[in-house]
Amino acid sequence: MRAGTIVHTPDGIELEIELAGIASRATAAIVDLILLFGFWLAVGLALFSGQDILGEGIGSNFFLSVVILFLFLSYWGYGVFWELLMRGQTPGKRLTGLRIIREDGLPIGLRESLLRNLLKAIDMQPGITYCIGLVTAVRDSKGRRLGDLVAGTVVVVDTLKEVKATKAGAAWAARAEQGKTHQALRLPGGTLSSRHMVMIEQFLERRETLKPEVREQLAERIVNSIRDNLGDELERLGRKSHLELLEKLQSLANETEEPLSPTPNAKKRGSLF
Amino acid sequence: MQMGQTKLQEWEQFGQSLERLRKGGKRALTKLSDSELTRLIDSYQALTADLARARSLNAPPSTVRYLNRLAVTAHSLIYGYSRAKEPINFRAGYDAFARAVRSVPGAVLLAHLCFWVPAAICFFLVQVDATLAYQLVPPGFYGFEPTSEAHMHEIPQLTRPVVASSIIANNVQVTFLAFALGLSAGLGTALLLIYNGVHIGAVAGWMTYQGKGAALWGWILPHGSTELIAICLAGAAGFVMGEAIWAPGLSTRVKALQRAGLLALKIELGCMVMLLMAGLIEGYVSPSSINFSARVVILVASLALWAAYFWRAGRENS
Repeated sequence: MRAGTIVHTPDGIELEIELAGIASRATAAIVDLILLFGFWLAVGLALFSGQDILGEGIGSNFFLSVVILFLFLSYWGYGVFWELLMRGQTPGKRLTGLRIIREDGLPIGLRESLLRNLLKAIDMQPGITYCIGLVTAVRDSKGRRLGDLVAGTVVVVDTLKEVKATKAGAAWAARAEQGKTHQALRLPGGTLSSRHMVMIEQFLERRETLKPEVREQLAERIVNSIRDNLGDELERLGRKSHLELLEKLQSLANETEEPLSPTPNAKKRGSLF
Repeated sequence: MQMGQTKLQEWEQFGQSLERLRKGGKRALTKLSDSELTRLIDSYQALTADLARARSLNAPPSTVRYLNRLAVTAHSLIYGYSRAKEPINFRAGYDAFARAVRSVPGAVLLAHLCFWVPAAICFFLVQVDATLAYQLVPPGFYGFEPTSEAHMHEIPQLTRPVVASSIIANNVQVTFLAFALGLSAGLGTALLLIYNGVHIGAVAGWMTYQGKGAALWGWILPHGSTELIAICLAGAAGFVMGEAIWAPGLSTRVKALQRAGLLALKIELGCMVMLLMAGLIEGYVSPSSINFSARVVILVASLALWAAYFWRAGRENS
């Protein structure tokens, strides 16, 4: 999981909200820029095609002054307008699944939006390269550019697109509901602690994402690390590849029934339990 | 496995209803019936319980991540509306600007000094040694005729809106910079003010040296006070944030900056309104054919107006 910021909700839950990466933020910014230019282009074309109706209008000074103010307002007001309309998202951020929130997890309001957008004046320096904003965002633990820092906002990942429940998740839920959870696995020849079982399960869950060589290496390292705990049980399980051995151990663990209780190494999180 | 599947379905259904609600836009939650709303809250609470259990009972990381995302999305939907209604209160803004400026006399004074001292020095330096003007005054101004009778007609009625709007856009952008450069611990703001002071002082000195003083002052007087006060106040807004970096007091620098940022924002927004007024005067009144004494009257009136505003507005007993 990428770096996250912890938010305490009013109902006593701790949410770990994933922070947006530099690349996705840059993508969002570029999309927004393209949209803004497209908007200008569309308005420009619409006006030029309506030139006959406007008559001399297009060249008139009053018209030109409106154009100047329109360009200025739409450039500086783009962020504020969308962030207020879409609760902390611009079209670019919606597309990339990002959202601006306050550091306390609440949605941003007018003042936060104004501050972080006005302070773009310094984040975009020098010129419009955004070097200052980039450097501060990379250096900050919460990835905040100067505007975010002063406004008290963070840009976070808010999309359900990349995550989904897995088979392993379903298996975990089933075990948890049946009152079984990671417990030490006691075998006639030795004992594996709950920590070992968690390690094995997490490895097995990830196995498809690993290159075959890496998978083999990792499996071997895990087996080596539990060799002492298993002792002569290893002989009894028969000659198998490292991977098969680990799968066998997990299925053994799933067969034994244990009452539901937090594992000793479970991190203390929140005050709910 | 049966029970695990039902849990899985529960989560997936919750995820789908969140996606639907999110697509429904800003009013999606208000359209729900009471029972639907209750069900949403119930499933949110059930989900957060699952999340807490998943963490403490070592669920697979991908599952913790999945549940966490669901909870974050639900949280942003459910709590996303608590601050949605914040009507813009112009009366409060009117008071807040004056109050904010009064609360930071040091920064306001510093900003004015940063601007006016270099301006005055350059004005007199150019009087003493006119060749200095070639270093300080931009070449475009060497032969510039500000508002001689002839020049007034150089800005014909029709182009005045263009002058006004480009001046407003340009000045507001300068104040954005003066405000934002406060984050360079105020140094950038100071440099910006000094640079502008030098520029204006030198140009005024050069014009006066050439005997075009009356014409120049006539041009500047109507809008000058409003415009220059606004730019100095934007500098003060920058200094307010700069001060939070130099002397954050008992809180951390970031906390101090966030507090200072809010105060500075009020000042900056006020400056934008002032510049809007100044730009309109500069585009419409300054190039018009009113005589010198009328221009002085406008200067005195606007100075008096601003003095009264910054002194009185937003006071408890006013």
